[in-house]
Amino acid sequence: MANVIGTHQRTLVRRRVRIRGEHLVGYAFIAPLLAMFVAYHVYPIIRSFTMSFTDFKYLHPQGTHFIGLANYQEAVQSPYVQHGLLLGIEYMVIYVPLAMILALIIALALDRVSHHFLAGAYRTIYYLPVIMPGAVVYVLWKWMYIPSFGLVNYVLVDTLHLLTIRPQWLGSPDLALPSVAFMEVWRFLGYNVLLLLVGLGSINRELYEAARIDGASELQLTWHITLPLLKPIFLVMMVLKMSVFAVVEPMLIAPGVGESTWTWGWYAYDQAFLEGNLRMGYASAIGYLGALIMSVFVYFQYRFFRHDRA
Amino acid sequence: MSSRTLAMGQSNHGRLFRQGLRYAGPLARHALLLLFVAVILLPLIWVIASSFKSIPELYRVPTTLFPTEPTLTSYVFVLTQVPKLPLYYENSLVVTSVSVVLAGIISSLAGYAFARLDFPGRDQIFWGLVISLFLPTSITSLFAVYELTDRLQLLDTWLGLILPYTAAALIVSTFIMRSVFISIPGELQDAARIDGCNTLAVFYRIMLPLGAMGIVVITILNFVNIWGEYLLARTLTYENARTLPVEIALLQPQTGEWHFNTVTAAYMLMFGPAFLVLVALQRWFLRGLSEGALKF
Repeated sequence: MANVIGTHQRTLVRRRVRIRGEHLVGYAFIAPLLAMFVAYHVYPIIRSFTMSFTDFKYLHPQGTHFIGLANYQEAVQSPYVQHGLLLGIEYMVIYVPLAMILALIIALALDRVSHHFLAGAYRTIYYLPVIMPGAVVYVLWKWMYIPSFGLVNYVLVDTLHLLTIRPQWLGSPDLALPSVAFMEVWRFLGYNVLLLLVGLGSINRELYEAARIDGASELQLTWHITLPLLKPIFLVMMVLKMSVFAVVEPMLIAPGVGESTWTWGWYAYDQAFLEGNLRMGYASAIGYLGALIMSVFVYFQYRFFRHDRA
Repeated sequence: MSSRTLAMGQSNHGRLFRQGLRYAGPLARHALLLLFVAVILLPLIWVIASSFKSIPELYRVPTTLFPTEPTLTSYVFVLTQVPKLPLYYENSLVVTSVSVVLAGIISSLAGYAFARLDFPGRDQIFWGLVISLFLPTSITSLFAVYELTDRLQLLDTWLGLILPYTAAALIVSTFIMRSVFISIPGELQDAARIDGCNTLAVFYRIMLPLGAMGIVVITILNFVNIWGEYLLARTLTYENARTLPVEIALLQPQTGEWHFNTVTAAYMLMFGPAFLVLVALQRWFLRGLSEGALKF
């Protein structure tokens, strides 16, 4: 295929890209993918972006005007959006550390289980909630959080007697958002554990052996070998989990009392589909505002991560 | 072992303690693991057990986990009183199956092209696709997708769900299929070419069979994700094309005769079979996930 004779000349002249016949096959093979990608990924981004600069209301599409940054202005000044952004941060701050630390502890313990079958059984059980549809998980927890006969209070109050009062989980303004966050932690525990197990598995066992010969204790092994080598995967996972800042679904199905779970993501959905004239223009502005802030988060996380790698 | 000579400065107490700790270690480990097994399993057991309770037993205070007089009344209720259940089942099945098959075909073709075919812009396009995964635009895109679906008059239809589901599944599936095809030795492709196969034949006769493992994995992955998808389904359907997850979320405790036992019976009927199938297949699923994770 390569033109051997002309190679010398080609390195001196800038390569002109020519689409030859044989290239068409490649394009044909990716055509369906590209078509769907453009239709359902590229176009929606462009459309919603332009939408955010108009006063587009879905129930009254006529007379939509271009209004520049007015939506963004309104969003920034809206107490609902501000509260929603704070809730998003709160949710992230509760979910990410809790999910990662729990998964880490379990993964470390599970990794040391030598009995192959038992380890597999544990893994399978932890993984069950991930196979369940999210909606089912959230609805399930909605029931579990019912103070009177829900499972949570049944276990904590009636059986284990760890608490004396029956907390109103979703019904109390302070507990609602953490309760929702815990739902997600429960749901993805197995998934997170699995990812960490993969990371743990990639650590060379010989390192452990060498350290053991030198007399290191199990705790020292964990602290000085396992954790540092796990750091890259751990940090990548944490960065990826930043996306929960934009959470919508759990509180759509299992909302807390009043406005306690009105994250900005939920509020944008609410403005676009649930309330009033369905102000999609405004909702898009909220969405992009949140996306912008999330990008800033991710960027700083990434910088921090890069420094650590060195 | 216990007759090891002590070096200078070492004491016997520390070593005995450590030997004891050797057993404490695994014990503590399994205690911890079992604690979380309980945390994971209790809710599931509660749902299953509650579906077999009768109404008086359901609301008895203090509540019990397991029913003392199990009954099937709630199942009967759901099966006879919910005329639309087969419809929702059908919707979920059709939408999920078609999306999964479509995604499998398209991502295999594209994955192969990215892995083994040569054309200008190939790598740029591919990494452009991957980057799009990380854009935080899922919420805003939802609005535009709704409008698009409405304009195409596909609201509350099967196709209206199939298309976005397939599109959403394609990128990760293509990524995985590309990895699968890259790992197949290139000599096989060359040998087939020499034998006179054109690209499509190479793909069909050689790559697909060898890449079958990857296809199985992404099929299961996509099935699980699409079967349980809620947000898009809730937004894009009303009644005709409603899928199971949305219906489940709408079964409120307050609506008329829906008590917790009937609600849980409904869950069992709606998701029980699929859940069992997925548990049986979970080994493939876990493998697919770890392969996908490793690539990332």
